[in-house]
Amino acid sequence: MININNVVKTYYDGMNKTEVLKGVNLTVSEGETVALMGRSGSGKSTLLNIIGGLISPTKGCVTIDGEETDYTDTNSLYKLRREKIGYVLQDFALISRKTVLNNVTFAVRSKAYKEKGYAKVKSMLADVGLIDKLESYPFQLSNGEKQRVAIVRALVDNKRILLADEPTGALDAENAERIMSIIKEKVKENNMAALIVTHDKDVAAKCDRVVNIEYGMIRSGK
Amino acid sequence: MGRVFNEAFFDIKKHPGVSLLILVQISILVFSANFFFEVIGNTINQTQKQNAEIGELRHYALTDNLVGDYEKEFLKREDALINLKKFNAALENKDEYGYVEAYQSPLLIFDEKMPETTLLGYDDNNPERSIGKVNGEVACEVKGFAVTKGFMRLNPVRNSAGEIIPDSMYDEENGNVNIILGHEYEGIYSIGDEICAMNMGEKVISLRVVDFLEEGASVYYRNKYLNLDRYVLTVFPSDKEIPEDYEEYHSQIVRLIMKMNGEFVTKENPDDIQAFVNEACKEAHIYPASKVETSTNAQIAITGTAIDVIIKTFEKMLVILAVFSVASTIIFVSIKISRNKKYYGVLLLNGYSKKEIFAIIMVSFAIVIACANALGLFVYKLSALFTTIDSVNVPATIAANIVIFLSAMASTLFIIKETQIDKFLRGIND
Repeated sequence: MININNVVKTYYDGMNKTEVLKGVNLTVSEGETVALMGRSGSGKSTLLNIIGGLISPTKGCVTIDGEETDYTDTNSLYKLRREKIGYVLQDFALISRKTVLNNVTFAVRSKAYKEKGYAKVKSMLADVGLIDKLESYPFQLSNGEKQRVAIVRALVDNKRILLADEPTGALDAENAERIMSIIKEKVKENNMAALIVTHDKDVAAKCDRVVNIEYGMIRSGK
Repeated sequence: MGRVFNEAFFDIKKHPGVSLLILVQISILVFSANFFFEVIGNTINQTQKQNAEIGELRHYALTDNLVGDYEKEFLKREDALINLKKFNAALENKDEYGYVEAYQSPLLIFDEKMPETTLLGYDDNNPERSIGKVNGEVACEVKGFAVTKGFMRLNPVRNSAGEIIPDSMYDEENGNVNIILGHEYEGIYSIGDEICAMNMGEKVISLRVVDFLEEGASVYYRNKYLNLDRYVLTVFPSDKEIPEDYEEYHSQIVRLIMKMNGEFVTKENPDDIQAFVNEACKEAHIYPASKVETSTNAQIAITGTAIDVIIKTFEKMLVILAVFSVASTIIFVSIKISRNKKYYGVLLLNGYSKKEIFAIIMVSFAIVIACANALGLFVYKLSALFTTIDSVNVPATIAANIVIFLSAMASTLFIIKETQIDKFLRGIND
């Protein structure tokens, strides 16, 4: 599902050159949830951003769902994010003045999800225990609830890939466990592939596989 | 497209303060553009009309600043009369500039039978204040207008018989000062009557009625037409070379100061006129207004017909307005985008393209611009109740909107293009 082949990312600041990723190879299969662990600055988030098409690699290629990502074509990158990739971030990335329902529906493009007044979206929100919070605003939700909204948004339109950057970083243990269960369940249910960046060993333990990255290179669990 | 519109409306509501600031700024611009074009346009039209009426010649009024302490000090100077004569001669003897003297000043007439409307106090609804006793005799203060032959040549007027009053009528005869009376004096005096009066120099003079003006006779004076129906038209008497007594000396001084309040009638530009006046002031030891060192000074004031000056000022103000509008729009756009950075980042993360973000910002801007136009034009129309402005200036409104929209578009495009998606996401939490 996700195939990362010899990806290198180098940042240039004048004469200074920083190689953040030094030839990363990684594969994540359908229905698989992979934890990506490593110290700060090891290149975890950079790798996630490259897979999501937010930044381009200096070298190497990324194939998603059998299609090689063309980083030179901005339209295809928008299409990739629109159709295939859902994001979950540590700070939830919710829009404060939109209701729970609107925080999800603004990302919906497919007719199937728009039908009957976003019935499918409502059912997904109900599925994660938020049916009575549809008209609530983010400031009225707990962190766990906010992250559940973000997960639903990442899943709408039948996304194929879930990229999560420290999804449980702002949550307590109980909520972290619930979020991980939801992610795993939905990934299996929708036959997606998930890559989860985390520092938390408990969270990593709940994933199907753990990959360690150090100094821009995969050390274990390819 | 519906998605873009939804987000554009949300974008406006999200930071209402910023949206309101933009709305107010554009309203002010639309209002000022209309007001500015309308008022200036009217002035230019009026000036062009005036120019058409008075020909190519322009009138520049010369005004003396001899008042208060300066006047007292000046009158003490031994060379005051000589210098005033020198200055007056310089003005009158310059071929390039026609200098005509006219002076609107009260005249004290020792006679009780003045029509009430001709009294100076009539305009203040207090005609009684213009009747009093001077040296034991009843005197009336009436509207006087002292002219020269040159001034009347430029402003030919007709008498009650409908004939142009000839030059000779403005001559002095045997020490009598000729006067031509306005229409409202007809029936009260007859041609040949002699009237005893006192002029501004406080000298008793004898006035001889030589004619009556036709009803509605007027002259172009200080940028307006002065109706002479209630006026006594006097001529400036010629001065003797050397005054015989102090009364004569004082009278000459006053007359010469009056003559300093004439008009240049010329095709020349105001800068040249001003330079000439400055030079004449220097020669006669009379300093211009900017250098009040001695007891008197003189300055020039443009009273009307310099259309090129108006247009130049107009162009400068237009540039200032445009620069201000562009600068403020760019600032507001930067504030708006900076405050919405995270929001745009979230949209981008969820499949929105930069083109769509650009469209959202521009649609939200267009909505605010539309509201601002409505508000600006409403206030403009409201102000019409208190001013002379009338119609909405469509080209000015369109131009103001284009300036705003293009600068908003350019700055938005630049910021969006130059900012990476991950940088948007690093914006302040939404």
